[in-house]
Amino acid sequence: MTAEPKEPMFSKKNVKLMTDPLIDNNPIAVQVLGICSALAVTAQLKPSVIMAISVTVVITFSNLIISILRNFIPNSIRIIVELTIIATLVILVDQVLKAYAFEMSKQLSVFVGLIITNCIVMGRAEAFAMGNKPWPSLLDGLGSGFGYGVIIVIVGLLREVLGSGTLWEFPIVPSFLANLGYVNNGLMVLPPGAFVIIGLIVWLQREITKKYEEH
Amino acid sequence: MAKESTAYTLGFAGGVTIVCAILLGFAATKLKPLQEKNADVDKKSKILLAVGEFDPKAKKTDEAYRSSEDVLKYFGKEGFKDKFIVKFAVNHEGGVVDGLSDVELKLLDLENQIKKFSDEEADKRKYPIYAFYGSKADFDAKKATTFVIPVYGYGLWSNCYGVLALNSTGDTVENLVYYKHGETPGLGGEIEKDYFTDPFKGKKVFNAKGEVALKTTKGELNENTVPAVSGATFTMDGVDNMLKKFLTIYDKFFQTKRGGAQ
Repeated sequence: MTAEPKEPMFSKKNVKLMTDPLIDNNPIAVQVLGICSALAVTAQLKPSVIMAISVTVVITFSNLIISILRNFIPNSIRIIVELTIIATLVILVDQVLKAYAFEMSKQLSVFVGLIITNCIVMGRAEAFAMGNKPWPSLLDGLGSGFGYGVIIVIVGLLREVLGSGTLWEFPIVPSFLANLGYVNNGLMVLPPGAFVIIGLIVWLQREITKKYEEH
Repeated sequence: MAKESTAYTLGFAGGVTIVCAILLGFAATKLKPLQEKNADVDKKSKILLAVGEFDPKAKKTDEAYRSSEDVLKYFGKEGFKDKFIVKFAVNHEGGVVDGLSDVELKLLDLENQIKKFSDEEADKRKYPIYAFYGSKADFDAKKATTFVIPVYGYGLWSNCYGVLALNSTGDTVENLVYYKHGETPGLGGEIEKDYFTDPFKGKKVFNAKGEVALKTTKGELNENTVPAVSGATFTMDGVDNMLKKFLTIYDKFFQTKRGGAQ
């Protein structure tokens, strides 16, 4: 058996796997995946951060495990095996949240369970982890998780500041502004507020990357 | 064995299932004590909220802040800052049930009792109830400031669970707090919001004829009615039904309290 030339851990190709989903190929802004939870949990910053971490953990480990098993998984049942592994990881995250962050788990409620159906996780498992080695798969998972996380944290931050006048539950809008007639934007507390912000982020992202949809 | 053979596929599926099941079973068992403690503290903090001893918005530095240890202290023998909450049970005739062990009392659950004994066997039921003592003197004299009764009723999707705080004679509402429900956010789910539960404060349980009359209404308000949430008719029916049912059941106990006062 001839050994392939060893690729460095953080070769250009591998680093690109991680940075690509952040801007150029962002799961939410470009691939438009995972929108459901991006609307539902982003009314405040704290649940957004918890959700971002949860998704990143699930996607990283599901990519890693599926990539390790990729040569053993029978093709006819690969989707169901992927799903089982993802579901197991999600329930683990849910159980840990219930034990160590009970209030948060109540607030996030069904949306943690729904990470199972988050297209980003399944999509990366099927499109990347099934055909690549464990290390690149892990990096790809981390990158996709961060790409999702960056967007929902930005949305959560803006919605909390504009909608509730607080940041991480601390009031930040000075009282003299309220005296001058400043009112929190009620739309930002509701899910449509997230649509508006995600729309603006997509626009900004297209302006930076200069990649437009062809018609 | 060939990778695509039926036997290999079945074996692989079985293996994955078993490994995942063991992992989850292990995690669930390991984390269960912590989760149960969290759920217990959560429920008890809702009882404190109902009697006005808990402020969910309080910051850690505030006087009104209660840590989970503080919450549990209220229910302990020593109390929290000379305030006590004691759980006990009453029977279907309104008498206090004596001689229950700590464990029996701890496990006593309203829904279990109602499900276990049908209406024909209602006299076998033990209804849990909480007494809140606002001072050591009241605690020693067994003079409760507030009683809290657990309540639950149907909603559109599943049962809604709450606690209802009543004054010492059980004829005026002090607060209603929902702690678990599966109603539609924005419609039936509004029952957990302050704007729905606040109007309950100070409402009378009985009308002039002495019937249980506390309910939600779309019409004019009086001392027995609170504004209903529009778009949540079915949930509101559940709320009305629940109030009527449990206020009637627990009233037998409160009758003994009112009898003593007169």
